[in-house]
Formats: sequence, structure tokens, C-alpha cells
Amino acid sequence: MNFFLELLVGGLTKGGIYALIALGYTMVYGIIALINFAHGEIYMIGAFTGLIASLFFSSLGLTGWALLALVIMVAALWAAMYGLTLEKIAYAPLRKASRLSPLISAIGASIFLQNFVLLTQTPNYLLFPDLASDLPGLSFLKPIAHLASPIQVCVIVMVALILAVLTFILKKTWTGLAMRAVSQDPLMAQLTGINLNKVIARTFILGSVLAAIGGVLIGCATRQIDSNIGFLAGLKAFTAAVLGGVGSAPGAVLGALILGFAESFTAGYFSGDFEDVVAFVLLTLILTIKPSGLLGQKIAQKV
Amino acid sequence: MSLKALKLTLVKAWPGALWLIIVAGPLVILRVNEITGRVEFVAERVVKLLVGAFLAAFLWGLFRQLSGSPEGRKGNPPPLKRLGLSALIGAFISLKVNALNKSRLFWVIVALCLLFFPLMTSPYALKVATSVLIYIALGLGLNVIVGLSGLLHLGFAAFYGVGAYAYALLGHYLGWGFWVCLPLGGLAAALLGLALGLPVIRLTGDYLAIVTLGFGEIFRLLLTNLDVTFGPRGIGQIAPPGFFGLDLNQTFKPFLEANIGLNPAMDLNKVWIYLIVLGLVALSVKVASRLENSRLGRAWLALREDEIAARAAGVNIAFTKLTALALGSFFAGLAGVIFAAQITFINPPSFSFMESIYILVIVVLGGQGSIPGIILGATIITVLPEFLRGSDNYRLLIFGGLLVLMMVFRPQGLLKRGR
Amino acid sequence: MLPSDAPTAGNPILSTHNLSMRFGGLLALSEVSLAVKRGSITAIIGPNGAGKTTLFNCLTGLNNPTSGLITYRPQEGQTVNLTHGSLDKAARLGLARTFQNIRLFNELTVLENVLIGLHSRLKAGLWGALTGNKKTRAEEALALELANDLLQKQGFGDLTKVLAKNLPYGLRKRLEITRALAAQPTILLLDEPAAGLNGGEAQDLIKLIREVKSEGNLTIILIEHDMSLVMSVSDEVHALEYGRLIASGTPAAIQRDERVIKAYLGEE
Repeated sequence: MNFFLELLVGGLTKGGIYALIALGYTMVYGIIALINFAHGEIYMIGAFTGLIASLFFSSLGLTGWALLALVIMVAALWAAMYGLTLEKIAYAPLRKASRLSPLISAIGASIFLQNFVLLTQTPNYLLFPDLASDLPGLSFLKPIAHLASPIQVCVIVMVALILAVLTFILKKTWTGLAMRAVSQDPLMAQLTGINLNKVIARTFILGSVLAAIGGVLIGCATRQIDSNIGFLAGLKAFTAAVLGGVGSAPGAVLGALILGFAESFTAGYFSGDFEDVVAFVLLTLILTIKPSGLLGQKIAQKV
Repeated sequence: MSLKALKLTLVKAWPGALWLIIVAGPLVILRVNEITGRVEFVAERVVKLLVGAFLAAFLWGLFRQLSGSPEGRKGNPPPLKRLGLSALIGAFISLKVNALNKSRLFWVIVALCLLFFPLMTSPYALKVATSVLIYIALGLGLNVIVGLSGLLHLGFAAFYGVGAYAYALLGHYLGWGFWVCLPLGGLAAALLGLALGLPVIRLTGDYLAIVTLGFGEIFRLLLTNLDVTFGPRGIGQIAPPGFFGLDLNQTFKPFLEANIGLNPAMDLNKVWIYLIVLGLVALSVKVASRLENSRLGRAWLALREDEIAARAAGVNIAFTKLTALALGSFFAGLAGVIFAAQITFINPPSFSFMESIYILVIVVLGGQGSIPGIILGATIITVLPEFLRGSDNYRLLIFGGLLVLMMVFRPQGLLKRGR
Repeated sequence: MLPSDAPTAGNPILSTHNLSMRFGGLLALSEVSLAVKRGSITAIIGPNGAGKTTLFNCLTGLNNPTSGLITYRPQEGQTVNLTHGSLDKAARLGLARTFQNIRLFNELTVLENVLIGLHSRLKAGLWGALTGNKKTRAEEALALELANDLLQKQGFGDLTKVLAKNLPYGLRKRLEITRALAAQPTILLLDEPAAGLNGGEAQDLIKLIREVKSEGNLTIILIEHDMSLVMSVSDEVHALEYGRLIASGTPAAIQRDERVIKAYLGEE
């Protein structure tokens, strides 16, 4: 039973982080129907800037909650800048191009960013400092430490909080309304005076911030990062987004959680070798049965 | 472009450069030391960062003006459309190709040069040439799926891998030879193409892309984790293709060395493989050009352009998609068998996602749907890295950057599809 | 009395019985029963959103009706149930159509568009395409000839190598009809063929419709808002409103029909 609970918590943690990345994918897709292939790299860059920031600030003597908060803020800020730059250079000029061009451009950007970090930093694994286990005020978690480590609790709670904030942004703010309007009908939204470029930029910022938080959290959870982590994580997060129905934010979260659980249980009960296979098998199966994803809406085509 | 406009572009580059410095700065000048676990300030990169950021911003502005893109046009200088370097090269090459297409003599000369190429060259050049040819075959195969039918396939390397592993495994376990395995490898890939096709018939666009990507990853992960395929260690000592049971090096080499001046380091087995793949490419080009002007080829094009209109013209979508997938995969399977024979050792990383991307780029780089474009694309993708100095990662960095720039400034590819 | 029961007409070439189509909560077609006479020009009229295009989509298999029956008689004495058909199957059975928002193969040439229109009349498959055998080559040559002849006749003389996207609007509409004609259909379904055409072009269209009808043994069904066009070419008119068939009859009878007038002008 304990083993089961452990796997459950592990799956929830993993799924939570996938959800943070998947949301960025799904929001961008909802707005400009683009698979932002380089989104996984933004997550990786978030982890790296987070690492640099944490080493820098802890050398200044910062610890605990202040350190964690500052690290996340720095990572989010830089990831947002990378996301914006990416949009401006690799996607914005291709707004009217055929579908294939932006995707290739995105793949190019992904390869570029991955090797950029590899060359400026290191091709090897880097140790990520343990920012969460000794946070003051979390000692009450000790009794359940055998089931869920503090960092896992931290990840789960933060993801839940972020989802609440995101829901608020999407449902209650003007930006969220504009985003939803653009994803329904970009032309009509522009006619009502919505600045498309602004909405797209904000979507990229929002998505990048979420990915960066995911990057810092994964660093804390696995304690090591390298320049390759973005690729597979990005791929799986996109899988999660597609699973749930691309363009749907709750769908992305649902897809991410399913994926997290599936991987965790496969690794636990079957074999760790096939953990990565599961994601793609699941994807193929669900799309075969329900091509628009779990919560995706089938769009009636007007002819 | 006037001097004044150039100056203006220089001045306009500053804000962009500043932005790039802020964005890229921390990762460039601060490096985490993996041993001490501390952040180091790398002073010698500061100048590089400043110069690099300014140069990037300046060239970006310049390109945008030259390519006459909307943002570039806002400025003072008049748009000098299609004066970009790549456009010039593209126009030049397409002119040449079109003019030469007509002449039969030209093709005879090309064929002779290609046939006797191994006799005049080094083993290294032969290896590169064989790679180019294998990539042309792969590109032509993927072109059926992506270029003609518009099905975005991101897992094509898996089908290439099926061919390679089919030969390696059948050779290892059953001792089957190249000539038996060549059609089998093609068929196995085609069958897998159909197996992938059946569930994805209903999928379109990006969903299809992501499923094919996932399919490719499943294949690679299975190769890595299964014992039958020898996991990550891969399979070595793959036999060269037979030639009527003769040992080529023993039988022919002394004669060729003495009389024609064959490079003594040349392995005749590799020459034989080169000739086989040359034959395959010739056949593929022939078949591909036939397909383009056939009922089936037009059905693929119709599918790419507008699925509903295609159906309204009586095109059976399922059949059309499946034939495209099966046929494209068949090419890949053949290329895979030859690849395994050429390289004699295969392991899963040869069939990774990046490999799929390389093949996709070959199709897009040259100009979608254009056969000369694919030949050009395969040549560039294979030969260019041989010239770029520095580590693999520098090459990849440049490769990634070039992909973005090409899509932004010349998305239609270097050559346009001629009609 | 339904027109299908008219004694002189023979069996209708296409008829629907209680055809209904529901999209979620919206009833786009409600129990529509109508019949199209062989060799006639039949117009479907009605205000926007009346269900005209949905009717077309059901007839051509793009949508399958929620309930009801569609019967197609390609020849006398031959009956095909089209209720659960599909677009490509309907096309192969001789129903060719155009679309309200023109659907051409934009990146392909005018000639290629028409060649694809010939698709269901040609036979070459994978093997033929791969080997390029004699039979395939002969068929290909014949296809080219047919397509070129058709294009000449429709006035695309020097435009065969032009990309479809580069044609002006009027010619795009004409090309779509030409592509449909290439299939040598039994029934030609035109969805708003005159929409967006200027006066001269609309006159040409009327001429074209009359010509193709008199030349081939063709039945034409068209959706149209241009009443003068409807009145001048059609033999029979069906009027739809809110998914219901409100009137069927000759153009003259429809013009006098009170419910049709009400549907178009609204109630006071």
C-alpha cells in the first residue's frame, strides 16, 4: 500500500510539472495554432537561470523561502524574455506562412537553444542545490516523509496554486478574455480592437513563466539538470496537451496528470525501461480512439 | 542599398543588440563550474557577447530589409525584394537545372561521372557521396508523404531504422544475405507504415505530426530497451552485399589498381554499395517523377491542398494516405538496408528524432515537392557539416539557427517546384 | 402532392424522405422530403441559415443525416441508398459539387485542378503509377486531352499553367464548376454559383448552366440567392426555411407562394 501511495505521489509530482509545461504549449496552440517546439528549451533555460541565480544568491548568504522565491522570480523573468525573443524572431515573421514553416522554425530554435546552453555552460550534468527540503515551517511534513518528500509536497502545492492563479487570469482578467477571444476567432477579435501581437506576446510570457517554474521545481526534485532535459520534457508535455485536447487548459492539466501517473506506475510495477514508451503509446491509443483529445472540442467545419 | 540606409540599419540595430545582451548575457558570461559548484564570471566572453549581439541584431535588420518583409519596409529604404543571398543562389541554381533538364547529353555525362566517381576518389569522399545518395533516397521517400501528400511526418527515421535493423537482425540470427534482405527491409518498413497509417487515417495536421513523432520515439526506445536488438550496444559486423559470391577486393582490386589507378585504400565493397545506392537513387528519381504526373500523385497533391475538395472529386482519402505512407516508408526501408551494409555497425541513436528532422529538412530545404531540390538539400545537409569546423555542437547550433533564418527569409525552399 | 408523383416525370433521380439533420441543439434540417426530376434544373432557395448547404452536404455524403432517407437512381431501374454515403463515394457515383466558399487546389495549376476532377473516371493505381506501363500512359494521355479540351471550351485557353490561386474571382468560380464537370457527373450540385459575380459573369453562368444541361444528360441542383437567375434557369424550385421545406413548385408558382414571400420579407 505504501508503495502504491509513493507511486501516486510520484506521479502527481511528475504530472504537476508536465502540467506547467503543457499549459504553455496549449495556450500558444490555442492562440496561433503553432506547436511551439522550443517550449521545452524555455523550461530548460528556466532551470539553468534558476541554478545560476540560486548559486549566486546563496553565495550572498540568502536561504530558505526568500532564496526559493528569488530564484523562481529570476528564472521566470529570464524565461519570459527568452520566450518573447523566440516569438519575435522565429514565429512572428511566419504568421501567414504555411503550416510547415513555423514548425521547422520552432525545431531549429529548439536545436539552437539546446546547443547554446550546452556550449556556454557544460555538456555534463550539473548539481542543482536542494532549495526545498530545509524550508523553515515545513517540519510538520516529517511524519509523511516516507511517502512524500518535502519537495514533492512543495511541487504539488505550488502547481495547485499556480493553476488557481492561471484560472483566475484566464477567466477573470481582460488579458484572459482577449486570449480566449483570439483563440476562438483571431480575425473577429482583431476587428473588436484586440491587439493580436500583444495578446500573443502575453501568451508567450505566461507560458514561459510557467515553464520556468517547472524548470526550477524539477531541478529541486531531481537535483540535477543538463541541457538535454528540455527535449524529452517538452515532448511529453506536448503529448499531455494533445492527450487532453490541444487548446484546452483543463485538458492539458488532465493529460499531464494521466501521463504522470501512467509513467510512475509503469516504472514502479513494470520496468523503468519502459517509462518513456508509455507516454507515446498512450498518446497513440487515445488519439486513435478520440482524435480531438480527451477534453478537446470537435470543431465543425464550415464548407 | 544606399550607404544612408546601411547607416540607418546600423543605428537601428542598437536596441535589438541591447535586448540580446540582457537576454543572453547571464548564460554567456556566467558559467557554473561543475566541479566546485560555483558560478564563475567568464571575462573573455564579454567582448564576444557584445560583438555577437550587435552583429546578430544588425544582420537581422539587414536581412529583413533585403527580403522586403513588412517590418523592413517600414523604414526609409525601398524594399529590394528577392535580393537576399539565398534567393540569388536559389534563382541561379533553378535556372541552371531548368536549362539543363532538356539536354540528354548532360544527363549521360552526369551518369558517367557518377558511375566512375569511385575510381577517381578517396575512401572518405566515397563515404560522403554514399551518404548523400542515401539521404536523397530518404528525402524522396519522405517527399511522397510530406511534400506531395502534406502529411507532416516527424518519425521517418524509424522506418529507415526498420530497414537497417531488418538486415542486421536477419543477418545476425539467420545469416540471410543483403539481396534477400533488401526487398524484405523495404517491405517491413512499408508494412509498418501501413500499421502506423491505420490508426492515424482520421488525424490531420499537428495531431498526425505528434503521433508520428511519438511512434518514432517508441521505436527508438524499444530498440534501446529490448534484448533482441542488443539494446544500446547496437549490432556490428554487418555483412557487405554479395556480388555473385565473389570477394570483390581479392578478385578485382589488383587489376583496378594496376590499370586504372584506383586508390589503394579503397574498399571495393564500399564501391559496390555506392553503385547499388546510385542505382536505387536513379530508380527513385524515375519513379518519383512518374508519380508526380499520375492519377495517384495528383490525388496526393489534392489531399495536401484541400481534403474536402479532394473527396468531392472522388479521391478515397484512406487509400491515398495509406499508399503515401507505405510507399514513402518503403523507400526508407531500402535506404536503411543499404545504410546498415555501408556503415557495418548500427545502434539506436542513428534513428533518433534528430535524424527524422534532418530528413525533413532535406525535403523542405530544397523546396517541397521538387526532386532537384531534394538532391540539393541532401547534398547541403551531408556535405556542409564536413566543412564546418569545431565541435558537433557548434555545427548543431549553426544548423538550428540556419533553419530559423531559412524559414523566415526563404520558406519556400531554395528551389521552387517546376511545372 | 409531391413533385415525384407527377405522372410524366418518371422516377426522380434523387429524392429525400423525411430528412433531418441535428447539430447538437440545432435542427438544421427537419423532415425534408423532396424529389429532383431527371434532367431538370432544380433550385433550392431560402433565407440564410435555412439549411440549404446542410441539405447539399447530406446529399453528397459530407454529412450523414440524423434520420431520413436519401435515394439516388443513377439510371432508370437502378436504386442506390445514399443516406449513409460519403463525399468521395457520392462523387464516384456521379454526384459532383461545388462549394459556397470556393475550394480549389490553390497551389496547383488550372490544368491539375481539372485533372484531379477527372480522378473518378481514371483507373490507374499504385502499380500503374510506379511502372508507368503502356495502359497507364495511354490513360494519362487521354486524361490530358480531355482536360485540355474541357478547359479550351470553358475559356481557360492560355491559363492552363496558371496556379489556381492566381486566378481572378470569377474565373475561380468557373474553374470549380469546370473541375466538377470533368467528372462527367450525373448530377451537378452548385452551391451559390452566382454569389459575388458581376452582371456579365452571371449572364455567362446562366449560359454555361443551360449549355452543360443541354449537352450532357445532366441534372443540375443549385442553391442560389439571385432570384432572377433562379427564375430564368430552373424548372423546379424548393424553398427552405428554418430547416423545413415550405414550398415546392415551378418558379412562377414559388414567386406567388405566400409562405415564401413571408419567409423572405418577414411578417408584419
